[in-house]
Amino acid sequence: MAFNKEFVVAVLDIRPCADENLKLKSVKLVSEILKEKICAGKKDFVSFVLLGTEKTSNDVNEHVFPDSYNNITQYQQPQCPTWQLLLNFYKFVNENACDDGEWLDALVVAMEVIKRGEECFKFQKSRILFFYDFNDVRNSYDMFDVIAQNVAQTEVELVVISENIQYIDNPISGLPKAIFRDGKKSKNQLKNEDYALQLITNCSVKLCNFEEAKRCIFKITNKRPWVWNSKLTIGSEINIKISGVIYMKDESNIKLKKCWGQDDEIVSREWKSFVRGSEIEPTVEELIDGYMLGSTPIPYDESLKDDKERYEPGLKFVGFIKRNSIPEEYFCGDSLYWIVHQKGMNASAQKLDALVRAMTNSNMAMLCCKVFSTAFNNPKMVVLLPNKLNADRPASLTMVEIAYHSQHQYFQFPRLRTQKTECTKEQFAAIDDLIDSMDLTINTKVCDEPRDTYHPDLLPFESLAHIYEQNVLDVLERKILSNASEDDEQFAEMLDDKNFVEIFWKVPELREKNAKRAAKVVKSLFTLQENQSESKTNTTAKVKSEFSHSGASTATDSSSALSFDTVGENTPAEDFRQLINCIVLKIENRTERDAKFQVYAKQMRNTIWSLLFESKESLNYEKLEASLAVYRKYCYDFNAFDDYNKWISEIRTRVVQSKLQHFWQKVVADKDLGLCFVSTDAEETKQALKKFYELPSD
Amino acid sequence: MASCSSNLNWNPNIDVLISDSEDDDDETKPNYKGREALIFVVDANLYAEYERFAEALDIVRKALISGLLVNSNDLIGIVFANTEMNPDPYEASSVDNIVLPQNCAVFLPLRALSKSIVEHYLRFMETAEQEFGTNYGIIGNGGHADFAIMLRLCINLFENAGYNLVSSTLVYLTDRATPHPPNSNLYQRALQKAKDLEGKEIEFQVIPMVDEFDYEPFYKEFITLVEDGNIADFEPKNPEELRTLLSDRKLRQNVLRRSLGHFKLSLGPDLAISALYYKYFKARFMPRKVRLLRKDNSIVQQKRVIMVRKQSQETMEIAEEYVVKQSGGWYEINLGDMSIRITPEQINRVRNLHAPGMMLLGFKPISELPENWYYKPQNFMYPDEKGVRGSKCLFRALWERCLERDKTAICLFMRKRKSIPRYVALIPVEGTTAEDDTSKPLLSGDGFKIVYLPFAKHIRNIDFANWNSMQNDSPEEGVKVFEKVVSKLRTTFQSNFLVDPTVEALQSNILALALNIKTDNAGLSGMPDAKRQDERIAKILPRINEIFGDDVEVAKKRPATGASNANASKIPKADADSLQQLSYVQQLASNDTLGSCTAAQLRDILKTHFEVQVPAKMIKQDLIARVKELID
Repeated sequence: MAFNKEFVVAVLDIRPCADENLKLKSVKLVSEILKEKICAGKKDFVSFVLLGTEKTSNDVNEHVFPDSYNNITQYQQPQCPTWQLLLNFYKFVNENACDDGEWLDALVVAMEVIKRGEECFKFQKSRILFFYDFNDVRNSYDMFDVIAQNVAQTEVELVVISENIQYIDNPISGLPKAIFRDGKKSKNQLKNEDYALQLITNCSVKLCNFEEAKRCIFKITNKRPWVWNSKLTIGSEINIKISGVIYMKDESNIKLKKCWGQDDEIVSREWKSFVRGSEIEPTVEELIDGYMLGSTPIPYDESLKDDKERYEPGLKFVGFIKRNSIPEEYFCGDSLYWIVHQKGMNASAQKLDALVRAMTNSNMAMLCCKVFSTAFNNPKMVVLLPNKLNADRPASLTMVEIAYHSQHQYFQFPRLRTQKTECTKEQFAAIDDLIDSMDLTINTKVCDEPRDTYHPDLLPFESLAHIYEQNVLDVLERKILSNASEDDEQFAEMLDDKNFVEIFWKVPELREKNAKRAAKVVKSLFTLQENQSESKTNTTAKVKSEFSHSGASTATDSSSALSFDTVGENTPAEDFRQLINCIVLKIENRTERDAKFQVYAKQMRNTIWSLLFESKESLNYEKLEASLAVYRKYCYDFNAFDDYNKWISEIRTRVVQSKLQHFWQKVVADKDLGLCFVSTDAEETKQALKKFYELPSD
Repeated sequence: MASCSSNLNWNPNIDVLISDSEDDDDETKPNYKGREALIFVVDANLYAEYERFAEALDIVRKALISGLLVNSNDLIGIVFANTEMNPDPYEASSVDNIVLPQNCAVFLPLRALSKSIVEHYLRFMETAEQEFGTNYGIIGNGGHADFAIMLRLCINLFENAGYNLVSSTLVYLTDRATPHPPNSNLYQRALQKAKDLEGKEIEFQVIPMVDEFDYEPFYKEFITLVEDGNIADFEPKNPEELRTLLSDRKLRQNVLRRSLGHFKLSLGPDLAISALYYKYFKARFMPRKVRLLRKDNSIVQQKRVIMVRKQSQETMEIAEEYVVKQSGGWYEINLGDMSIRITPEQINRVRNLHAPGMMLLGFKPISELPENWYYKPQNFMYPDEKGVRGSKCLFRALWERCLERDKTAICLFMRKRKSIPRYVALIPVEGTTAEDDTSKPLLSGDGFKIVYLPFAKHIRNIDFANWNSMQNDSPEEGVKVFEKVVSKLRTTFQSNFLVDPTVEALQSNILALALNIKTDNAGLSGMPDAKRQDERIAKILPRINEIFGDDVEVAKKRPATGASNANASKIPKADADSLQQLSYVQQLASNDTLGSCTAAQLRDILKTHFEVQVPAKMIKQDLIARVKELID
């Protein structure tokens, strides 16, 4: 099995003069890497070097140049990542700090750590993550050329991570180029930045800001992937030796140990057998295999099994098919393979190259039958698609399974373009505006300007975060830090107080404002109405939808008397009263009537809410009071106390947040517009009300 | 299908797949809510043209057999309409409380299929040509018995099925465009019955047994009423295609009732529409494997359980034993001597940190989607007026503009509670109207295709430098020759190419065994015919060999000891005799060179020196650790 072990050394800048943000973010990023490696059960090695410690403790200083390489401390021993190491790391970064220590020295120390590590263990690759604030501090660069040369010669991958890095398109190389953000800078700072940039040209170092670092440091290229060695045969004569490599796979990267019993208990997994509900313990001889034919079991004995064809492993050609006639909808399976020639097989390499180019030229795909091995002998249908040729890799095909005809589902959907869904020009324009204001690509026109992301894209396809696994890692870390074992309460608190998921569920910051504006316009042009009955059981939903049909007709009849059908912001109280009197109360069916009331009640609540909290003008107490009063009154009439109570409590919370205590006192408390109760005289009720009107003092 | 062999691979240390595919279970799990029921109604008028009748019977036969193999829980019934007589059905006692009308014959009341039912049907088919006329006959007076009464009979059959039904479908095979002359009383009554079917959520499908079929006189309106749809949306289906699909046991599914679920798509603050999503294909099905008792063929249900036992210290007897559910237990992280536990329930809470739904993040040009990407099976998305009224209109506007401007909407999508939020690209698609387009999926319509995007960590970045060499390039001539191969061997795609050879073979074996049916598609094993391919490219082959030649085999790293023994085991580096001495092993351990022993040797060391038996699956590293631990 090809084992891809890597060695990572993180250099962290802890000088007091360095940017605090950088320090925090670098610790966070290193912990992310550790967590990921721990949970994936990787056997990689990790170590750390601190730059700017009061003390000096590193191999270079100790063994090579006793007087130099000061104020740099390396972590005791490279280690496999464990939770304990993570805890140690958090302690380690809190070494006493000072402003001395040079970044090139720290780089040399890190290189030495790698060198010594490589002497003991074999790694596929080594990386240095170098976090540093290139600020206004004098550094000496006498040795720069020697060091840069050294880095270039070894195969260490160096990633320098700092704030203030931006990217700009470079029309000559075609690749974006890293630069430092413009601004007023001292001579020293300019010099530091200049040398940092020189590293890129001298020894192909990656220079990233934190956003970009998150994307690139988790991306590990693999030189020795697992391969499926096999052959592709067309007819019986054309044979191509191929290797299949997994290119994409939906899999779990978190591995945790599962326990079912305490340490002193023996856990085993066993089969229990039952016949008609009673447990039996049959011997192997007593059992035979069979298949169900409808409700009849059919014994299926060994003799038939021998008959079963064994298929020869490999890819058997079925036919060439136009690329665009392949329905991607039927692609299935959990992984996507790339097919390349087997290493060192020259004739196969050339045949595959010719085949891929021939397929590309004629825009063809290939249908094959795949048999994985003699052990996994089930034939699968696969589609092979030619990949674009690229100088960095040999000709290749993408291989993906396709679902069998017997699995295909048969649906036919009504058309979308009907009269009912006809849209106006304004509506289309609003959608266009939404599409434009939420464009995730960075407009080509502004590409001459520096940007914060490497790709001109706010959400590159290749770097989407696995939200759930990220959450699990964060939760585990918190659990370990707070030493909380099975404590459920603490767990709940933790989930509440940390914003684990919300950071993912939002529009990229750069587009957020415009997106909101555009969505508002869309909302104003399309009528959308939440169907309350949906959540209820099927039968009531049915009843309600029937009512709403007839209800719609009655509503249109009576609303012809009214010129409006919604509660407006100008005269909400009057609107609401009229809607109830002219429309709702005229409906004879009770259920239907209540449903209609709910619709207007919701509009009313939204209107009051927006008048209260979203309006830019000063509050109109009279209008609010009238609205609240009329809504509350009808809540009594329609027995909708709960809705009102729930909502007014929300108002109360928000009032406190928005510091509208004056409104609360003058309108709600003084006019007694708080919680609704069936009987207001009971002592308990009075107490509850009193308590409700009192606002928590911040 | 769990088998004993998977037990061997069980390793609790890595048993956990906490991001398991709980969201993919949609159809693999048995449906506990009830069963699906299907009644075939065959119009006896078909008997007048026996070929049509035979084809109809054959369609039913295919459906019975595939139903028998695939889904043992479905209920199937068979009714003949417009007959002259109504002889007793199979197991007549089960329809005691149903009034059987004059001109309808129940052949088979709703039943879970069994071997004997199918045998009964097959026997009937053998003699149908002669005996159907005498036993059943066709009704006189123009062949029109009351359609409404037939429908009522079917409704009765559904209601008396004796099971809770999750779906009821009535399939009517006929060659007549209308059961009654338009505007007659009976015609009106038949239409009224459509509303009953709709109210009882019974699906109705007509399968025309003639290629030229006019839906206008009756079925257009009838079907629209049953489906509670819009008459303007009605699209006549190609009868031939319908028949082919039905003999593959494919019935058009109800769009509203057969979705995987509904969700809300949020387009901005306080702006959401509701939508449904669908699968393009079902999980692959195999006949259900069971274990039987040899003596009487009774089914043995086997359950895998996790047993926890407590041994008493003194007597070594089992003091206590109990069963733990697979989903029980806890996850453990060891931190020095302390262990931290996480319960599965807590993991679930992490799953549910966000409410299910879809959220729009932005738009990109469709062309930006990388070519040849596949990550998870795609879904289809269609608006749902039930959740939020007005959804369809906004959905259409969004869909139409995306289609026009070649844009894809990028969203985050959490299908339901406990499922993993994933990034998706919504790609607008149009239901094609071209009849002869064989490549279009059977699920078609206007809407968005939900394309799942891979998480960064699921894309493996492979460096192909080791493969890359200048010698890989084929000469131009080679490309030309392969272009010829491509054009000689090209075909047009048809989805029925995609046959599952294993299932086909297994099914025909089982059928042969149980019902003595020789499957006619024996030659169609799904495996390609290499000979025919050779013939087609025979002229080009010599040229290919000339240009490319053969691969030069490089010497293998681990040479086989003999030609026959290709899988020779590893040659151990450490001397076997020395390993018999404990001191030698200790020396190896202190030098940290235990790695030079093979795993088998390490196991031997553990056995001979420490009397420890380790699981066969233990990896070398753990074996070394164990030896060291024991030496210390």
